Amino acid sequence: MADADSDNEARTAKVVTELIRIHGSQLQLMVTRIVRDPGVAQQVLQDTYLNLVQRLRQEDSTTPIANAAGYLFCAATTNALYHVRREAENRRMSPEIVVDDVAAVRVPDRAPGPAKAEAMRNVIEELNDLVDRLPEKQHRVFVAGKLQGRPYREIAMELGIEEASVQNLMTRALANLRAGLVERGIESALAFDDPLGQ
Amino acid sequence: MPKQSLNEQAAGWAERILCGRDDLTEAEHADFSKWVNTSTQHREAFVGQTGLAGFVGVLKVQAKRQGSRWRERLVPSNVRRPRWTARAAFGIAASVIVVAIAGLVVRAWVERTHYYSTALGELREVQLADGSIAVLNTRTKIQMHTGSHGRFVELLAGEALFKVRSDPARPFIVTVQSTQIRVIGTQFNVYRRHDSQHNDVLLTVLNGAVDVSDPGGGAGLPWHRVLHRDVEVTFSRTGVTAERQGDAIQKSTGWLRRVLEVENLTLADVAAELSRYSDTPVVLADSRLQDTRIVATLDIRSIPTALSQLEAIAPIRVEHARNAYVLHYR
Repeated sequence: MADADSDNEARTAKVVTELIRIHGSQLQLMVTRIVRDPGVAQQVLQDTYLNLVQRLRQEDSTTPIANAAGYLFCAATTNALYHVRREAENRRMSPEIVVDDVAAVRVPDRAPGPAKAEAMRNVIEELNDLVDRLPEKQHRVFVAGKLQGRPYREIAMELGIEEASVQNLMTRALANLRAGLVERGIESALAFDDPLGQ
Repeated sequence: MPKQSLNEQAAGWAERILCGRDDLTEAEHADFSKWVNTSTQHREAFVGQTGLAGFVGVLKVQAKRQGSRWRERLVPSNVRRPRWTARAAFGIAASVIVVAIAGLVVRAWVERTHYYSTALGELREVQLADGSIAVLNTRTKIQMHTGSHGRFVELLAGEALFKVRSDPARPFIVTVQSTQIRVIGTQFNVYRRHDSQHNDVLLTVLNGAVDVSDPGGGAGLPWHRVLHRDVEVTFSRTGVTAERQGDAIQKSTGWLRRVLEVENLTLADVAAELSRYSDTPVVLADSRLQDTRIVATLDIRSIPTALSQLEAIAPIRVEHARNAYVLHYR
């Protein structure tokens, strides 16, 4: 039993470490831009990592790192939005910059059922497939921009289009990919859904 | 320009926030807040897009290691390439790296995690790794992890009073089940009640302030409160169920002086409280005693002494049975 616990702890630490290594700086940037304070962003992220650790402890040992990455970004976003709302309440800020009803987008803290767990195992496989099915221009922009990390200006020159068009194609590609994940039940399998809206 | 779909708008905001060159201006932040508040669907779409960014990050790591596949894909082709050979290699390489990192992390984690506990009837003051003080009441167990971004204590059982050393760079956070208590001030008491009558937490703020929040989940909804000095709340997974203010709350920490200060509690509650300090439980034999309320100061160093004190002021007779102290009505 103690060995099982220790294995689980080691596995959890392994997943969290790898996720922070891969995504830490991007998460920091994202949360900082939402909460507008690097120190607060660190706290929000620390809370998020703890949420993730707790969630991984609840789950079986088959959760792939990709699913945890999706959860991590969702949890960081919702925690950041929650923080903005809380701060706004505390400071009684003007209503137009208050994020209302953030409870509606909190990541539900629940373990997936067997059907969902099955769907979750194939996230990266499904995403690969969705990328393959993107319209040609969107595919080229997505691969060059997101997977090869090339700047929009360079892609625009290579494709002979405006930088704004690259941005537009990227936005459409990302929208199509998310729509595909929703359609295939992947997003709901990861419990991104609205707990109050069910 | 054609009107963007909700998904495209969400993708646009996620791109700006995740990958933009500069921070959002005041006006952009206000626009974003207004947009994300438009409806639940807007918020879901935005959260979904940021979740997608997590998957794409994993895909990017894979792509770095199987670069040829994606370079080829820049030239459109209908031919699907096998993925598993490269993936298996990636998996093995990643596993080796990850296990090496994990070993270091687990070691560091263990070294920075400490457990403190007390036995039945024991009262113990401990200096935590960060210099803060925790005073543990009977049968209490806490776990503390100190990290570069914060100090994290989990109250696993019992009751503890914390005198927190100020460190603005590393917040001091106490977790009780799913609820987080973030220290703003310096001194507070937490009592996790788990007996036949209760499954809740008593939080008493003696100095400064604390920020209490629960992300919800299970049967509970998210909730959040900021509590200031001389406030005591009782909360469970569903939120705050009772609140007291003023000097009376100082009685909650009578255990530090080895006394149980009873302020208008029922005998049923008093019996449960006394049982915390004894291997032999205190039980009521007569339902008429259940709701009898008393005011008293009882010595918890010796349960027989406390029961004698109780006998003097309440309509009870104490029987010292083999497995319990039985309170009869008289």
